[in-house]
Amino acid sequence: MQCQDAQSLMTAYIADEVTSVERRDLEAHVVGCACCHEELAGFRQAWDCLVRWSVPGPDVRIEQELLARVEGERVTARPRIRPFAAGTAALAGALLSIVASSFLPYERAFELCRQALRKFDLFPGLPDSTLFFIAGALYGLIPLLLIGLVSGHLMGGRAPRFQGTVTGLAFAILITPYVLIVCSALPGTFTAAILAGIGLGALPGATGGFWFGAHAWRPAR
Amino acid sequence: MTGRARMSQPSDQELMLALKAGDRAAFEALYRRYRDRLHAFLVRYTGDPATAQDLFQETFLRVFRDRARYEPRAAFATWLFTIARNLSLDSLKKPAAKPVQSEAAIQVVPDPAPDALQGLERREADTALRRALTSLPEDDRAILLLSRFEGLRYSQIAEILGTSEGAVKVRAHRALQALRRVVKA
Ligand SMILES: [Zn+2]
Repeated sequence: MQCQDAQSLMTAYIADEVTSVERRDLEAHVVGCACCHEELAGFRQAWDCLVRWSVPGPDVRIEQELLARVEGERVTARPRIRPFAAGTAALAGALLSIVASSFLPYERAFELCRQALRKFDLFPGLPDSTLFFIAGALYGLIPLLLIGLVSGHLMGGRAPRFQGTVTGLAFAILITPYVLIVCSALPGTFTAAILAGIGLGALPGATGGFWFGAHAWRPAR
Repeated sequence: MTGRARMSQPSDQELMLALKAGDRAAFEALYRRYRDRLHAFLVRYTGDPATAQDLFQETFLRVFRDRARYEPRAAFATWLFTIARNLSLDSLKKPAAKPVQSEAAIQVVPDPAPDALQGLERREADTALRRALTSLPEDDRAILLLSRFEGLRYSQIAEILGTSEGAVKVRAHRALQALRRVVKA
């Protein structure tokens, strides 16, 4: 180790911020080099001198004032909603849901639901409107769960369930005209069942997604 | 304090989580734990006791108000000193409020029973050292104070300053080198 290298490590050495190899090399060098030995003593002296700067604790008056101010603060802060973020998430969710329905139309999802239930011999007497409701719920639940996860992850832990609920409601409003248009050929009860399913699926999807994204999937700072 | 009593003390993280859940007593416990350290840091960092008192209040008030933002994976001390440093920088930036390095803060109080000459020399050396410390660039000063007095790791200091650990290492050395020159002189 050269003198220059040894000297550049001295502060870190005193602060115990060197690796074991650096420590060993530095100590070996200092033992054999009078100049660096003196340097190290100088650094240590400055380091030790610093600690003699003692500062008395804060004024009692300041402390009382602070604790009184804290006493006056609300403990349960109102959850703050971020309308722009909720709107963007709702719009993204609506687009995702529309894309999904263009690949797999609602009637097709309804058919698949009916076949699946029949195959496993579940709820044989289920009316068609209930099946449309279940199929619709998937078009709300899945996109909003995905969008909620990402949004919750990005936004962090600020009232995620509240933010998720607002997003779910906004999504339901945004998607309604589209559903009414694509389902214009269907009987009204079926369209209503799809709409109700989408809306009711979106709420737990968004709320759960936001919450999970904010808490379980730690947000990047 | 017995070992058993110390073991039953809640950690900083536990207290912060309790505070997040609305427990005011947890705030007081954290306050008592960090009161003297934070106050001393601010006096040494700003070089002005009056400014330090204001910043001290503001920092703890910010801890209380921003409790929801605290992430338990971060050490509380790192978070606290980040807030303190940011508020200090804001206050130092305001030209009207720029604190003058107060002699009162720097001046060394005589020991109660000093060995006359040696005591005087040491007092002068300490005063010179403090003056040198308060005239360091702000970040260098913060690094040295956090490392020397708070015992924070370079990695934690890097997080507080928003810089790399390597940069902290270099600046810490530069800062101590400056002080060393004063001690040597
Ligand atoms: Zn050498």
